[in-house]
Amino acid sequence: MNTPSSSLMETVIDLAGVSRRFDARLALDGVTLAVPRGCVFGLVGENGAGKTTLIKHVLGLLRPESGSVRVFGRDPVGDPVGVLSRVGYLSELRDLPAWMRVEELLRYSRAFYPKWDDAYAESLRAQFGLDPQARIQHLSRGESAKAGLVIALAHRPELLLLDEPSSGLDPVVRRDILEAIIRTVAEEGRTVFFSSHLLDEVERVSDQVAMMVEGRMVLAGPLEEIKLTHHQLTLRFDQPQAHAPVIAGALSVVGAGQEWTVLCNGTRPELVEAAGKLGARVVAERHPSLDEIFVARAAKKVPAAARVPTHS
Amino acid sequence: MQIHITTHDGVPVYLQIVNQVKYLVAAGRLAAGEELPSVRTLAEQLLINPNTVARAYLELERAGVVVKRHGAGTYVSDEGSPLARKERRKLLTQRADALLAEAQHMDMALDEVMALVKERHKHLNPPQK
Amino acid sequence: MFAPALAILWEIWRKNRWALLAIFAAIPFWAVLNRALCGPLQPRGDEALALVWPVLVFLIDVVPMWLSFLVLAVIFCYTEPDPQRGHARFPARLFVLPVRTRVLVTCPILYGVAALVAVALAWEKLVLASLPPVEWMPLHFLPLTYVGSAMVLLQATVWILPGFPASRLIVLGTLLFGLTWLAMWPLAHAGAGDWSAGQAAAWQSRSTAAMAVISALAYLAALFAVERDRRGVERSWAAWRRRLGRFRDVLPRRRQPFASGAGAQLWFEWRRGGGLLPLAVGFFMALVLGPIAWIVQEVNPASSIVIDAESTATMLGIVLALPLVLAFFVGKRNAERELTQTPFHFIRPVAVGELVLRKLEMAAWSTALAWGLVLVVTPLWLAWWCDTSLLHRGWRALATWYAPPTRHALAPLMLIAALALTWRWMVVSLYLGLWGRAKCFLWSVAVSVVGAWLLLIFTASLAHPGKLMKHELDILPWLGAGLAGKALLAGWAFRSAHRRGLMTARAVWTYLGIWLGVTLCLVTLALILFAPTSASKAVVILGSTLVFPLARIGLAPLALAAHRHR
Repeated sequence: MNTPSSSLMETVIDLAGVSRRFDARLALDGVTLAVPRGCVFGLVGENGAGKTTLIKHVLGLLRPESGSVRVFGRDPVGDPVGVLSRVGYLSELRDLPAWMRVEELLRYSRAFYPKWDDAYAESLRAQFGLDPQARIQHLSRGESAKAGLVIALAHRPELLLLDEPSSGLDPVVRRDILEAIIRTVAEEGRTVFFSSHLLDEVERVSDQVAMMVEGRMVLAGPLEEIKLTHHQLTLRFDQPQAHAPVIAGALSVVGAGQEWTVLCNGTRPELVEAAGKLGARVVAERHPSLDEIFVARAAKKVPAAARVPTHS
Repeated sequence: MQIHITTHDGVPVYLQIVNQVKYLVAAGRLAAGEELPSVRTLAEQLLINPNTVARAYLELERAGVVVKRHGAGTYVSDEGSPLARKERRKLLTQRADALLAEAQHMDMALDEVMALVKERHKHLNPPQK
Repeated sequence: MFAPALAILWEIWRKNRWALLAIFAAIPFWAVLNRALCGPLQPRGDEALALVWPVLVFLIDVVPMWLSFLVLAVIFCYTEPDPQRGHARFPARLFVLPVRTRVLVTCPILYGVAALVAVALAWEKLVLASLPPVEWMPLHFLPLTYVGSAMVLLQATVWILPGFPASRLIVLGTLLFGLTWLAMWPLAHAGAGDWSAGQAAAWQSRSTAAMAVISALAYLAALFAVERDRRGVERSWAAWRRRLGRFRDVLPRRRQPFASGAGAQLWFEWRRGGGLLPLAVGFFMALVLGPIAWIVQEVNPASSIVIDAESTATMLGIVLALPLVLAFFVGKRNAERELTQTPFHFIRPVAVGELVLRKLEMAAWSTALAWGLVLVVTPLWLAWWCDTSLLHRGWRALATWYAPPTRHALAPLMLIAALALTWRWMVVSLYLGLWGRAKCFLWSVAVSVVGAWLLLIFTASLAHPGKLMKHELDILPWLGAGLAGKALLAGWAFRSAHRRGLMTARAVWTYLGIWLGVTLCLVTLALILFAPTSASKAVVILGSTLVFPLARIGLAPLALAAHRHR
């Protein structure tokens, strides 16, 4: 269980059928995920979808009830030291000890990581503008996020794990964090895994994206592929439609009367054919942004008839 | 090099970069032989994945707009190389097709389209005083 | 005007309904119990038991009464932890409501005083009134003004000094001490018969008036402070605190990097709470050896500047007991802090066993420092200010009882025993705190409080020495079973921890070695001190092996692992 198997070296994080309950609620439902080395992996989902739970499983802070978790081929629960020495983690909460000063935090963290780079840590600290004598309880939210980021990056981890890194932060700090992520990725062989509900950021920076809805993984794969397989078609019918048209693979249908906009998943020819069968022609099409795909997928499934007001 | 990326209109980011670089070259804001920023620098500037920038540069190289010199960076290619011209023609044919299809959809006559093209050409190349 | 007041009342009730219900149910139950104990259940046959019966009933009645007062005090303190500032203060969320500060402050104070006075009255009238008067404990009920004033003082202190948890305790302690003295002094004199009835009544009313004035002042101060807090006015002493902080910056501080993760973790644990025990011991020691010694000297003047022999012996006893008693509370507080662990603590690439070992090491350093303080200051105090004739006599008696080898071994053995016991109280509840289940921890605290109370009653009932001898052999099988259970549990726990990679073999053997060494010292000391007969030697040996924690230390890494990987 503790020795890494060579075939898994290309996969940094490997979740297989992981399930976890909290009391009655199913937080993760058979989640399967493989994060290859050198990739920027974005995990999106609404609040409560299970993103933080998943990241905690990767860190070994939660045990899966079924399924297995492997990070660098090791079990994070069975071998926490081996896994955590290669991971840098930025938490969503402000959980740095309030009484510590910034320089004490750096000195303390340094003692645990043999690969700690002093010069790099110092340059990051200076770049982020953190006063070494300041106490963490007096830092603003953005500054404490940056302090957490410094200790996550300074030992040049093979895996950088970020839990909602931009939540509640102003655009300036968000830029700094994104820049740090990109710089990490530009160095060979390092992987970034982050969860966010700022889809704009996820789209800019990710190679691969996974989407979670209510504990289930509904979408996973390269960002390109996801965007190419989703289409937003505007259909024009000859007659005004009383109910929303039903197309296989449609995730959301909006509109009224003769024009309806459908966001659907599938290959273009199939969709055009399906539209044709309903007696509509495609007047406009585009690839939806990740934001739109996510909203369409995350919306509760409402019966099409109830969703649309009928016109007399 | 001024490039703006937006994620909202569904156009892939690498394609946006490719198109904008081509526009800049065409508008003369990127001279022949000028060096483009490195993949890493541009990625950090635009806050996008370096792989996306790399892909855009690859596309541009295939289109003949830029030329990659081993270990020395990426440079805007000189005009006039025959391979590049063929590529350019192919690209412009695609663009013309798209424009004409759109015009047809919008019920615009061919003369209107030609007039529009001429007007835009004048706008891009202001007459020298 | 009434609606906000009712809302606050409802809020306090709803938040603490179980505790309040428990108190309200306990009082009638205890009244009935008391009647039964003083009536039908009174032992008539056993003379020795009948002698100590009043003391036993007193203990049975008074301890729950004080517990209920403590619970009410905690409930009506009416503070909420402020996550941003990291300490408890008047609930800031109330400040945005359209209610005047007057109402916000007056309601909890009124309810607190009313509740405490009502409960005290209930205890007094229903339970303690039927208690036979015990000679050496004349005051087992408290004047109601004292109770009310104490509540107001408590609430005012807690609201006025939110950012200073330690100073708050000190100020509160001092104020309550003063108030108690003010309340008890006339009663003590009246009880001792120094005054006539008229004089006693006059002094009593003066004392009551003084307490009323103090409560009124405290109320006004609380009003003022909460109003300022509401307006976000920074207190003037916050500026002083900042200056002090700047002074602290200038002091020489460790600047070199830590040699290893172990050193860094030890530093971290120390900064989190290592200095608490030495500070507390130092504070109380200063209190006892300073002001209290001075008061005692004034009351019992032996000679010009020296404290009389009996008081010296008493105070020395108190000071030596200080680390042990305080270690109990500090240990519980440290364990309670361990209940909440943030991911920050668990992200370091450190094994669970290492984390636990650093906590144990920190406790050891804390203990050593506290005892070092006591052992340095006390001889100086003794030499300078005390009449040590009683102590000298005791020492000579000791010399005659014990032959030279044992006599010389006594001092180091007692030191080791003292250190071991103090360390024991510091770390013995760690395993429960590290497990992270708050309810379990609270139950364990409740169980230990109830256990201590029952032990007190049991010990009092065995006041007769002959009784002790008779029951001795009965507990031998219990002790044996206890030792066997401890050994089995410890063996399983350590083996589990080692097998799961939580603790290195070296750490396990080191601790076992320490345990063995300390237990041998304790056994030797017990054998020397109690010089028992052949029958009870086994009792003494087995009893002393149960003192130093083994199983509970072995469980700590397992508990922390369960917390880390939920």
